Amino acid sequence: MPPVLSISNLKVSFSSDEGPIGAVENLSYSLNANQTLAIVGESGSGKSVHALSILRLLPPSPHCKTEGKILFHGKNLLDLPIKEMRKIRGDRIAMVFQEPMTSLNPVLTIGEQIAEPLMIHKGKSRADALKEAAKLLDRVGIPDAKNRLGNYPHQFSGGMRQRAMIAMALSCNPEILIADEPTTALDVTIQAQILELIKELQKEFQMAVILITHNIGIVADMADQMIVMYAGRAVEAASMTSLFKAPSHPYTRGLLSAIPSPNSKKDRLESIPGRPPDLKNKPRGCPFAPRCPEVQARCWENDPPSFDLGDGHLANCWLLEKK
Amino acid sequence: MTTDKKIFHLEAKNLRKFFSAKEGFFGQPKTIRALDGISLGVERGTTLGIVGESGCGKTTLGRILCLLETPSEGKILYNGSEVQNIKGKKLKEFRREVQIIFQDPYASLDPRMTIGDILREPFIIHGEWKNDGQKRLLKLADKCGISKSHLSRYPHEFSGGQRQRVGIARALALNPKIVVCDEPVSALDVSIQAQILNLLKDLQKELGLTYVFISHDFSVVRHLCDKIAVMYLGKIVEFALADDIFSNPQHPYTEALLSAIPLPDPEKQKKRSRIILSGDIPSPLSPPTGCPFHPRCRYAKDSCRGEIPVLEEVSPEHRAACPVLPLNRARISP
Repeated sequence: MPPVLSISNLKVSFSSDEGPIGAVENLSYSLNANQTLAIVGESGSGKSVHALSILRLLPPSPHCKTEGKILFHGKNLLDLPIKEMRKIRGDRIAMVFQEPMTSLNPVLTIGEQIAEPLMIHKGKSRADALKEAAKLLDRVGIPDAKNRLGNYPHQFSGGMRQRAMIAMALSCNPEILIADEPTTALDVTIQAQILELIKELQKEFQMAVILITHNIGIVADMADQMIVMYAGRAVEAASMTSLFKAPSHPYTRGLLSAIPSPNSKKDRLESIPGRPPDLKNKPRGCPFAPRCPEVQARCWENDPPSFDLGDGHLANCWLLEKK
Repeated sequence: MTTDKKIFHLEAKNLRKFFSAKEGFFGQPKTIRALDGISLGVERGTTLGIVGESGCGKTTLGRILCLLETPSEGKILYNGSEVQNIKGKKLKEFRREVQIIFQDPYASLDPRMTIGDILREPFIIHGEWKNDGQKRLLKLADKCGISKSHLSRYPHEFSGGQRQRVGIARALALNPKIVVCDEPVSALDVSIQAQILNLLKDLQKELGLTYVFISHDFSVVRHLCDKIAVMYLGKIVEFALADDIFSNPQHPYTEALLSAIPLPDPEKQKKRSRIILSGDIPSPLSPPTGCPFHPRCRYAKDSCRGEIPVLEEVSPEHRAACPVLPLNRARISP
């Protein structure tokens, strides 16, 4: 079966007074139906920008340049006229944004917002669309859904708003659901509910899911594949089991050990010193070199290519060259 | 050693806080019981964790403990003496010794002040700038990992983690004895979280600080806290030593919170049975009758709807407000 989405050599750069900022560099992957891909990285690693570039929601050309290929069922989304793109957006590829507070329209009722894509993409009448919206709201676990349609976003709690966002994204039965930090703003208990919901819905609707997060912990039992991003590029890509069994890039190892574990009380948490590099003037060699505990002389000079460790496990680190 | 005789560094006794809210312009004002009979204490040099979901009153409790808000009822004892009504000079003195680190490093720093100005302010307010303020400020910044060149910059030039360092430095400027940390890492990336948690821990060791650490995330709390209080809808439902809470939770809510922590290991994660709470925390405007947790509780019985359970001692230093769970446990694993 051909992949639903296949991205090759995606490059996104923004223009600024101090020269171009490379937000995403040479990102490639493919995603099959019913599969979940987790994209993990710190703030500023380019994970959200990459998601926006799939939906072509980034600012137009002089401010932002997108190169490479984003093939959706073999069609390059980057070449599509804007009219065609609108037909795909929200219908076949849908997105759940990070901040349920700011991504819903505060002056429209929840019902109207969920019904809108149904009216636009499926050509339903307002009444039908609202009926459907009630069903969706019920499906994502909002009690008393019918009466809640007339509520405004401020009358919903954070968890409920995120559920409404998910209902909206699912309204047209998309083939790909992109969830950009869907649980970051939520409590742990609500986080567990939302992730469970996404998992269930994926099974039901047979969607491919791209889950973007900064916390490896939350995707451990959700994803099939994982890509770790750092400073705009993929530094490690592997199947979930392989990645947890043998994390190969020092950055991945750092991310894993930074998660506080509830089962053991360590005196100190492992942390990755420093911060992600400034994208305007990236260091010459490996972008992770300044923070890497295992840095070698050559890391400062040359950027490591990606090494294949078998079974599709790729990692960009000079330490892996000999193996 | 009985709890009655021990003098806590900071103690709350039967604290209540009511807010009034109106529904609509002509609506009758209703009372929200944000805190409903909270009693707890923190010993010198230790860390007390307060855990609960949004809306459980944990932030209100933190603010009251620093006297940023006044309680409607109840007492706050600092070194054994009542402080809830102090004013003027005494309050200023109290503020100097009890400080707070706020949750959101983006909203809690004045965008029009440089980092240096922000850190200078506490010294100026307390009249200590003229002596050796500059020297102390530089030492402080260094301790918290802020470099000298950053002092002339503005908050927007910094990442979340760096800003939180400024928030920490500001709280520590005047050598406080107690620091209330209100979700200091919840807005940060995991990798940066670890840096800040380690920093807090180092500072505690070095300066002998007492912390009240407020969080919704149990896994974060574990690394810092000696004792943990779990809050639900304005009440404490469980209060115990940190290790006891993790190994032997005695309230269904604690159990559910613990099980909601994601484990960074796919195999373990798949094997364990997770308790996923349904619904949100109920509105404090119309709390459920009886045990506030019963609508979401998997052990709930009819009796839970009627009586409000009180905190009872399960074992020494371990109190929980659920009469049902211990019985259930005994039945399941005899």
